[in-house]
Amino acid sequence: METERTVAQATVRLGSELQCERAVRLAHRRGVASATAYRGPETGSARHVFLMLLDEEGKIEGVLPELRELLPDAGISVSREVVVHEAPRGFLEGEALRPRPSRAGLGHLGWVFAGGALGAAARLAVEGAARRLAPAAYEAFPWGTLAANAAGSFLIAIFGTLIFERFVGERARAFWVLGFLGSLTTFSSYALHTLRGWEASPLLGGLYGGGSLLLGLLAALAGLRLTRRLL
Amino acid sequence: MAPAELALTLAAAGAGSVLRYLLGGWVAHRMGPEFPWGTLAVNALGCLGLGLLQGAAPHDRALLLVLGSGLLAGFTTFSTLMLETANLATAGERDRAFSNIVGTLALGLFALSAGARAGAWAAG
Repeated sequence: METERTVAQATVRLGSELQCERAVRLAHRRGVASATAYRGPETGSARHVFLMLLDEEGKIEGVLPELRELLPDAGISVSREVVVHEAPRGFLEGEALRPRPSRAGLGHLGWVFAGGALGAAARLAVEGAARRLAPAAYEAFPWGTLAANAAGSFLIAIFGTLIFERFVGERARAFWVLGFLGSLTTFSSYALHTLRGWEASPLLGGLYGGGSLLLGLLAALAGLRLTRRLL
Repeated sequence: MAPAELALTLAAAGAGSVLRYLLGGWVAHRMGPEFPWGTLAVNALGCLGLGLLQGAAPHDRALLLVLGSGLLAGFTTFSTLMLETANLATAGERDRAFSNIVGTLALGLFALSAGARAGAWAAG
C-alpha cells in the first residue's frame, strides 16, 4: 500500500538522563511512534542527551507545547519531510518493528526448556543413527555430533538473525532458536571429542576439531547469505 | 538407553538451555554488544563442567549421559558461536571473529583438561 504523509522529526537536546526519561514518558503517553535517545559527544564538561521523536506532523505538533512546558531548558529543532512509502501498514504505529529486549526476559523460560529438550532428542537421534551406520569408525571420528553442529549452524543463521525476527514472535524464538538449535548443537562434546581424538591421533583430532569449525562457519555464512537473498 | 535415562537426559538438556539463556543473556547484557562474551562464558564454563565430570566419574555411563550429553551439551552451544563469528566476519570485524573462534576453542580445551585433572584429583 502506497501512502504519502508528512513526517516530522523533533530533535530535543537535554541536559540529563532524568530529563530524557521524563520526555520519553511524555512521548509514550501521547503515543508518539518512535522516541529514540542517544548520548551526544562530550563537549567541555557538559554531556547532552538527545531524544529523537518521529511521527506524523500533526502528532509531533501536538506534543511540542507540552514538551516545552515540561522542559523549558531543552533545545528543540523540528524537521519535516514528505514521504511516499510502501512500508508495511501500521509502520508509524510501531507494528513493523519489534525490538529485541536488551535483557533476557523471564517470560519464556518454559519454551526455552521445551525447545532444549527437543533439540537434545534430535542430537541424540542423529548421533545414534551415525553410530549405527559405522560402529567401529564412530569411536574414532564421532561425525554425528559434527553433523548436528553443522546443521544447527546453518539453521540458526536463518532463523536466529535480526532480519528474521520480524516474522517470529518471542515465544517461537525462545523455543526454536534459544532452545532447540542451542541444544541441538554442543560445544562441550565437540571439545571433548577433539581432545580425545587428539590424544589418540593428532591427525584425526585436528581433522575433527578444524573440520567442525570450518564446516560450521561455512554453514553459518551460507545461511546468512541465503537469508539476505530471500528477505 | 532406558526410557527413564532418556527422559532425565532430555530434561537435563532443557535445564541446561534455560541456564544458558539466563547466564549468557546476563553476561552479554553486562559486557555490551561489541564482542559475544555471553556465549564465550557459557561454552568455557560448560567445558570446565564436562572436564570435572569426566575426571571424577569417567566410567559412570548414566551420569555421563544425563549430565554430559544432557545438561552440559544443552548448556553449551556451537550454533550460536558460529552465527556470532559469521556476523563479526561479515561486518568486517575479522580480528574479533578470529579471536572469538580461537579464544573459545583454546579456553574450552584448557577448561576441559584442567577440569579433568581437578575432577580426578577430587575423586581420589
